[in-house]
Amino acid sequence: MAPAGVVDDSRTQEMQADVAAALEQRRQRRYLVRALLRSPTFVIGVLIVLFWVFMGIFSTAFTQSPLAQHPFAILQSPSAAHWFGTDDLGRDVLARTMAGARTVLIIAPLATLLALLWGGIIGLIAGFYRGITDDIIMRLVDVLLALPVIITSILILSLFGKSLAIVIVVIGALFTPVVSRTIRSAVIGEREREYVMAARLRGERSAFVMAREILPNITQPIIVEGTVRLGYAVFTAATLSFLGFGLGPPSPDWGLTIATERVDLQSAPWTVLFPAFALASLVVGVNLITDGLSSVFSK
Amino acid sequence: MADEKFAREYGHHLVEEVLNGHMTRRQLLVRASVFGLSATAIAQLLAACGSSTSSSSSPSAAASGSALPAVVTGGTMKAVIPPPLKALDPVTIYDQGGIVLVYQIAEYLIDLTNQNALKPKLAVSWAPNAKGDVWTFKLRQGVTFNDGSPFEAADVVASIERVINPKSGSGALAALAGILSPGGTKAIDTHTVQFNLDKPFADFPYLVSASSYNTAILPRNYAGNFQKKAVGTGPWMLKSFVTNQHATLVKNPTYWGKDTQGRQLPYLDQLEFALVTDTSAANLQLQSGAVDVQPQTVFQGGASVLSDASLRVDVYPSTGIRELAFNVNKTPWQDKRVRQAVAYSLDRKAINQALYGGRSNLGYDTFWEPTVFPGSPTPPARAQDYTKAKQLLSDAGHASGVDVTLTVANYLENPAFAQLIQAQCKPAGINVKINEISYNAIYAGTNTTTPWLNAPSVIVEWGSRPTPGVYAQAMLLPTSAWSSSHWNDKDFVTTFNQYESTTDEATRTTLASKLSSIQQDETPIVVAFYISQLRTQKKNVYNIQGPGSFYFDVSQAYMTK
Amino acid sequence: MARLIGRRLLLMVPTLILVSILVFALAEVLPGNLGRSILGPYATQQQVDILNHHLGADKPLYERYAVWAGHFVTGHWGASLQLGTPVFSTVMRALGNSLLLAGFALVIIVPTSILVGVYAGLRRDSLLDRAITISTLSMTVIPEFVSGVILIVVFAVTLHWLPVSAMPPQGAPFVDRFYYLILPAIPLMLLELGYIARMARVGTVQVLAMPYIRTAVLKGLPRHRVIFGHVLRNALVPTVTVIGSQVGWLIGGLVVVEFLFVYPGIGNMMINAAQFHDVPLLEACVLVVAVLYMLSNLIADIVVALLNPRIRMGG
Repeated sequence: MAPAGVVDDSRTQEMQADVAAALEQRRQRRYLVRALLRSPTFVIGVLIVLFWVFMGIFSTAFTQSPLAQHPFAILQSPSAAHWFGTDDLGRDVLARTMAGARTVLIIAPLATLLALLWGGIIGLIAGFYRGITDDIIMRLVDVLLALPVIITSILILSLFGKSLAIVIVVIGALFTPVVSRTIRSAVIGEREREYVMAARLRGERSAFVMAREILPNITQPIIVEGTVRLGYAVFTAATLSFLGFGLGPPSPDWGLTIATERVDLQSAPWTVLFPAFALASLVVGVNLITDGLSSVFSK
Repeated sequence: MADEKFAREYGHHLVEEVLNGHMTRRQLLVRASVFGLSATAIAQLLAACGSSTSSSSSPSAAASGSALPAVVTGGTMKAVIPPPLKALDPVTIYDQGGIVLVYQIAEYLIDLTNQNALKPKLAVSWAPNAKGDVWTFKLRQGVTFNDGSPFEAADVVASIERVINPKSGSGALAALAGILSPGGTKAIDTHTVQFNLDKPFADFPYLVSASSYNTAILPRNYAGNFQKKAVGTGPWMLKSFVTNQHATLVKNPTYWGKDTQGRQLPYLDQLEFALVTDTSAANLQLQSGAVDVQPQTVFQGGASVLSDASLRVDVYPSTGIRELAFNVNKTPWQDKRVRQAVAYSLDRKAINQALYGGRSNLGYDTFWEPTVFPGSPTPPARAQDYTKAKQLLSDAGHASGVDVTLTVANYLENPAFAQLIQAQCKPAGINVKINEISYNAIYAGTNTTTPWLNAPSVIVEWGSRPTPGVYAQAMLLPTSAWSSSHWNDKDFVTTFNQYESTTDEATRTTLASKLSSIQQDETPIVVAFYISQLRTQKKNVYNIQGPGSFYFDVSQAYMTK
Repeated sequence: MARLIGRRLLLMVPTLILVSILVFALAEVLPGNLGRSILGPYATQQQVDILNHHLGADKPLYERYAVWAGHFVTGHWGASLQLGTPVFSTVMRALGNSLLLAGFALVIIVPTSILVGVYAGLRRDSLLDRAITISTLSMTVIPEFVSGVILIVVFAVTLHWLPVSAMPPQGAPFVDRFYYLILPAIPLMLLELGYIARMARVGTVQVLAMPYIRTAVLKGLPRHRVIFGHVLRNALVPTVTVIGSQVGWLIGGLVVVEFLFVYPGIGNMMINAAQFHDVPLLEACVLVVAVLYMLSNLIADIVVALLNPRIRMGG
């Protein structure tokens, strides 16, 4: 380090380079956003997801109550009064289908963020240090991957009971090993690059190099991995509810509804098909976003 | 013999009760069967009452049309039942699949008729002493086990002593505790058995009948390997058993049973059970024609089965319930007014409609319910009454509402029932939080931790029980093994002990009224309905007997082409 | 290569040991216990305690683990306390059923999805490519419990074309089993088809962008030779990796399909064993599935290495 008050030429150059890099980054980002907005896959995906976000937050303001029961009018087919029919307790299926978006839209993004956080830390450490640390971490990841997903989740969920928070943590934990693998390989690709070498030569602390140098350069794979996991999180949350290990009644959650109404599929298909299509549309929406992102990133 | 004299006197006593209007004929039928009166003796008694109508016909016979087609022998009948939850062992079975399979192969001293009356099986007659604490059973002659060994009193003694030995782990122990102790069962000769009870108990025969399903009579040297070597006296023999897939039974050629015309039973050659867990998968098996009969079709998802033109559905009232228990040791249930407030918040008709299509019988929070237990005093009906419920709540100090948690297993209609309770309690100011857990979890843990006995309030499913007394014995006494309410009412206990130790019907009727009104007033549990069961079969299947899904009697069933 | 395979196989041992310990510990903390599961809710606490003592279920965890592990590695897998049958034969029969179903599905999925994916990749950004991408995507995201139920109602109950159960009646010839497996295999095919086809498409697109392919095309090589000689071979690399990782899922993750179609596979057996606290059966199921999972990944890696010699097998 040069003494204070002395103009350090190399430092100025470095700063100028930084400014240039920042400008370049901003330009690139603007270009990316424009490319995304021109991608029909991405835009349609975003619209679908936004529709469900809107329904999840506001639907109860303009639909019937998703909880009001009518025991003498159960399993009625769609009509003017109930556009999507009624369910096994005489509740309005339209209202429940719309309100059902709420739980899954809370669970899936939070679970994905958790998985990205945990998997990100593990992947960064394993990929950055390599050697014995990497070996041990990857062995443990192997162990977790070798356990059937459904067994792990059911074991954990029957331990801690049912609640939104626990379902989120469980799905986050389930996805952590896979995410950490992806991020590890991205980190390995970056760690030999010049800028990382330079930072290490400067004597920066490892944590700094990981967080400030490597991380910003692997945001694209992280974003893609995140959207992929988001789709699976929706799917997994529904499956757990379906198997009786997700949320409990009287939640209008889609997976739970499909599970409980499944027995009536033959005589009252509307009770199952509407939430099933809703679920499918949300996952398709998330996947369209993924597709749009990855094709724009790869260009 | 003194016992026969007692039976004759008891018969006369019953006739008097009917003539005085204290009893119905149907009740006479049931009570007489408990005291071991033979069918001819009962017919004579009914005649003495001036009975002009015959006893009501069986539900399945009624549903099948009064005239059955001519019997066809031979053939294979396929049924679909849930798989036994564990390896087959009559001593420890507790689930529908296991009970139905054991019922085909092994037999009980006493079986049940379609009306829940007792019917001689391996015992041909039974009678108590005057006090009601010594019961003598005469056994059927000429019966052999399907391995060729003879059936004798020693087998009965061994079978009963086995289930009340704690080491066997039998569920029958808790039901017999305090009534029959080890050493109380004695063989008088090769075909007479005497039970020396700890106290007089008027409903004792039910405790050694098919309704106490762990009391199946097995060979005296039974070693616990029923699944490998199923030895019993029943009409069927286990040919193959593949866990969670199927069981095949063939007819026992040396079965002792004959029909009224002297033909060898069973009529069918073979019985195949598909073992299917998922109810809608089971329904689909029936609808696609893969199986001929489903001993129990559940209402949830049953709509398509019920409307299927190729199937015949028998509806028969059962005594099974969903007990909504309030743990009286936990807040806010210590106060009976809060419990009553829940009872007055419920719209039982609406619940019946939503859960059972209106087919079940309503209950009013007491076990003495005449629609299912004939001869019981009629309790006052409890309709939905929010004014009353709110008044009760505010009297109890909860004018601004009260929060409660209801624990329920994720099993059949239980979650739907919980949601109905939740919605109906809300207007009264009772905010119910539903805690849904798995079927395994609700029964897990020790006596002091298991949710079904320790949750503040809980829904528990009970299969059929043959009498109000058996129900009360199981869950309403401080000594009950399965009391989720932990209710301890001295008046009720004293009255109940008198009720079970008397053989005088007039006294029993008076005591029943008292028990019923205490139970209803105190409301330790809500009994909102007595579930009617459905049995579904193809239209060429005839003459299946038995008063519920546990008693799937196909020894006289047959199939036309 | 042989050394690398040997190393990978050796590394499986510590993984399996850790898995077995984890399962043992998890089964321990699940609500309930073995004695209660066997005797049911109506047995008294005293009876349950007696039985647990008799079965040794009241001994400390490490002691039970040591006893079980000692028996397990010496080939004494014991008897299932839940089913009353020997663990080894029970697990192997269930595994056989699961393998048959997964194998049946894979035999149809793999060629179809590779074909579809490569074709879409070759026609990148065409209308057909869009259509394939969107439709395979939609198939992948319909949960199998939804597609399964719909298939049953349409093909088994309404049309009577296919049976509702996945197992033929006793005594039926073996080939009949495939007829019964059609319906349960379809939901699996839908899920996997989209997934593998997308991988094959991505692989194709990447390969086509490579300079050597452009060179080959410019050199005037016939189109089919370019496709079969270069594109297909390289497009298979990511696809094989995905297939390897999905085999494990197909075997152990069929719970929902097994449940819906009443199929006696290993997935449901595992769940039942866990809930019953039948540890010997649970451990056997989990370990067998774990071994298959790791082996299929290993085989996938070997195949990838053979397809593309530039990729070395890592640890």
